[in-house]
Amino acid sequence: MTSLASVIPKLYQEYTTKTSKKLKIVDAYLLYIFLTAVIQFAYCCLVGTFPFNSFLSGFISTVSCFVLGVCLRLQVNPENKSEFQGLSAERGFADFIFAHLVLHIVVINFIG
Amino acid sequence: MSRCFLPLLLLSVLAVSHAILQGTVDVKRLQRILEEGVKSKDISTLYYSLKGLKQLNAKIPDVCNVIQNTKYDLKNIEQIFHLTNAADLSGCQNSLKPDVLSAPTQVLDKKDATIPDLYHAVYSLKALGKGSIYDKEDSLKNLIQLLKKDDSPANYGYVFTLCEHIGCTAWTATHAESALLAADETDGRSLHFDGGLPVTSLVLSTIIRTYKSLGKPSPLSTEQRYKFGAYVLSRRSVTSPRGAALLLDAAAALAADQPTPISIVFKDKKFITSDSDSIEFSVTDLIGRPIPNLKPDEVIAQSGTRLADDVVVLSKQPLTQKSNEPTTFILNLSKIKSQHGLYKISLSAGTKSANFNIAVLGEIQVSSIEVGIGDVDGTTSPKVTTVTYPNKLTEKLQADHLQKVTLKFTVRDKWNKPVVVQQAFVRIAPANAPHEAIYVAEPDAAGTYKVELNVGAMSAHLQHSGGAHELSVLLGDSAVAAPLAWTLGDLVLNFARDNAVGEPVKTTKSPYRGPLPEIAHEFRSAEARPSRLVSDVFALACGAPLLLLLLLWARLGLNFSLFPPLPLPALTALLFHIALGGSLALYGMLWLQLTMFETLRYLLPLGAVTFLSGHRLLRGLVRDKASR
Repeated sequence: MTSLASVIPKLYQEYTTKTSKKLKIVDAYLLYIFLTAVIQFAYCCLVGTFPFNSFLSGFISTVSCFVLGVCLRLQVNPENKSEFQGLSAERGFADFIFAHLVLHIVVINFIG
Repeated sequence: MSRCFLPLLLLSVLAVSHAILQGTVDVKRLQRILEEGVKSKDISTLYYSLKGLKQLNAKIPDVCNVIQNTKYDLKNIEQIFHLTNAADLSGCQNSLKPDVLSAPTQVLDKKDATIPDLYHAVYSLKALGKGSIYDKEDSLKNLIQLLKKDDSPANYGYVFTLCEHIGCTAWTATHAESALLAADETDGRSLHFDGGLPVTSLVLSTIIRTYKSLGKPSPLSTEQRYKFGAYVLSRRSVTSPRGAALLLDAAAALAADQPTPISIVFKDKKFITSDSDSIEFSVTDLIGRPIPNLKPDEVIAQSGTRLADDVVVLSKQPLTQKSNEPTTFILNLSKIKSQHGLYKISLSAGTKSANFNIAVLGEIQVSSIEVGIGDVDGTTSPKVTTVTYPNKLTEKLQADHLQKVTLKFTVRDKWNKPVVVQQAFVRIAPANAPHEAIYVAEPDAAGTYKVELNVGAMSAHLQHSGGAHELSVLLGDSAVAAPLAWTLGDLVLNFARDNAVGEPVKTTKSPYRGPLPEIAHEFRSAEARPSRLVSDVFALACGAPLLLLLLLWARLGLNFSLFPPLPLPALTALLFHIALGGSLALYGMLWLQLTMFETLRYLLPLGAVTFLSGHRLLRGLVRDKASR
C-alpha cells in the first residue's frame, strides 16, 4: 500500500511535467466526455431508459467522441511519430473534425 | 350400383375379342340430331341431315327457301356438291341458280383434278340430272392412273362410288377385298380406315351396296364385320348431323350385310333381387332390328360363374324369347337368387358369345346389437345393453375417457345365415355439429362384427368436444339391394377433466375472404417520464463537465497565440470556425425541425466551405511550424 500511495503522486508529477500542453488539452476533453457519459449512464440507471433511442444516441455519441479523442491523442503524441509516418498532427485534427461531423449527423438523426 | 359395375363390364368387353357386340346404335337419338340439323342454314350440315333422314326414310321438310338463299363459292366444288345434292334429296332442283352447272364442268375440264374433286363434280352433275358425260373405259383408266399417285382408302372409296355411276362395278368387285385389307386394326377388336368415320362409312357402304347390286356374296368376313361393327359402336356418341349421317350409313350397311353382326345388350336392369329373378336381354343387329334367321333356341347362357370364387352356377341354360317382342330374351336366374354376389354370364347367340356381369342382390339384416361400456384396463366387467332392430337405446349411455365402448353384432341374410358385407362402419357424431368419426367394423372368423372404441383415443377424432353423440351402424355391399343405417341412440362422452360435459370446443371460424382491415401503425405508448425537476437537474449535470473542461483548459493556459495575425489567414480561420459552428447549428436544426434531405442540401456547401477553409488554415499552421 505504501508503494501505491507513493506511486500516484509520482505518476501525477511525471504527467504534469513530461506531457505536452497539447496533449493535456486533449486529455481534458477526454475527461469531459467521460464524465458526461457517466452522468448519462447514472441517469439511465436511476430514472429509466425511455425514450431508449435518445439515451442510446446520447451515450453512443459520448463513447464515439471518446474513441475519436483517443485516436487524435494517439496521432498527435510525438512519441508515436514513427507509427504515423507522413501524417502530421494537423492532418489528424482534420480527420477528427470530419469524423465528428459524420458522427453527429447520424446521432442527431437517431436521437428522434 | 351401376357405377361399380361399369368397369367390370368394360373389362369383360376388352377381354373378349371379336365376340358379340355389346351395344347398338341409337337410331332415335341420331334421328333427333338430323331433324335438328335440317333447320341449319349451313349447306354442308343441311346436306348431311337430308342424307341421314333419307336413309331413315323419315319425312323431309321443305328446305327450298334455304337452298335458294344459300351463298356459295363456285371455286369450292365440295360446297357445290353439298348444295346440288341437298337440292336433289329435298326435291328443290328448281331453286338452284343455273350458274352452279359451270363449277363441275370446269373441274372435269381441268387437267390436274384430284379424285375427290372428280367425285364431287360428277355427283353434282348427277344431282342436276345431267347424267354421265364420261367415256366409261377412258375415265376408269384415268381414275386408275390417279389412284397410282395416291392410293389412300378415301380415294378407293371415291373411285368405287364413281364406278357405281360410270358402270364399272366389275372393277370394284375385283379390288374391294384388297381395299378392305388396308383397314387399320385397333386393340385387335375393331377395324377402321385411315381417315376415320367418313372414310370407313364411304368405303363400307359403297362396297356392300355394289356387291348387293351385282348379286354377289359380301366380301367381308364375319370377323371383319364384327370388327367394323365394334368401330361403329365406338363412334356412336356423335353429336353433329354429319357424324350422325355417316354413322347411320355405315351401321345400316353393316346391319344389311348378311349374316349380320349380332349385338346383345341389357334391356333395363343388370341385377336380380329376391322379388325379380330374371334378366332381360335385347338380341338385335347393329341398329336395333331383330336378327333374321336366328332361332330362339340358339340364344343360350353357356355358363355362369361367381366372380368372388369362380364357382360355376349354371351351364347351357337356354333363354326364352318374350312372346310379343322378338328381340327380347329372358334369362331366368331363380336358381342363384339366394346366393348374392357378382356373377359373370357367358351368353352365346349362334356361334358367337360374350360375357356379361350381373349382380344378384341380397338382403341383409341385423337383429340386435350388444353395446357395452367398460374400463379400458378391463378391471370391471362391462355393462352390456342389447338393442333390437329397429329400436333405439332407452337411456343415454355415459362413457368417459378411461372407458371403452364395445359393439357386437352379426349381419345375416334373408335366410338367417351370417354373411360378411363389404362395408361395415360405426359412426359417432355430435347431434348438431358437422364433424363425425367413422370407425371400421371388422368381422371375426365366425362372421361376428366386434368394434372396440377407446373413448380417450376417440377424443382427437371428435375435436375434443364432449357431450351427447349419436351412435349409428352403417352396413353396405355392392351385392345388397338395400344398405342399412341404424341409429342406435345417444352416447354421452366425457373426454377429459378440462372439458366439461356438453361444452363444445369453439371451432375456428371459416377463413375471412374479403379485404383485411387496414393496418394502422401504433407507436409505443410513452412511459411515465421523470418530473421536470429531475430532468433539469440531470440536464445541468450533463452540462457541468463542460464547465470543468473550460476550467481545466484555462488552467492549462489555452490561448489563441497561434491564431493567424494577418488579415487574410485570419479571415480563413474565422471562416473555418464559423462554417464548422454553422454545421453543428444545422444539426441542431435537423433535430428540431428540418428533414434529412433539407439538411444535406444545406450541409453540402457548408461542408465545402469548412473543408476549403480548414485545409488552408491547417496548411498555414504546418508551414508556420516548419519555418519556426
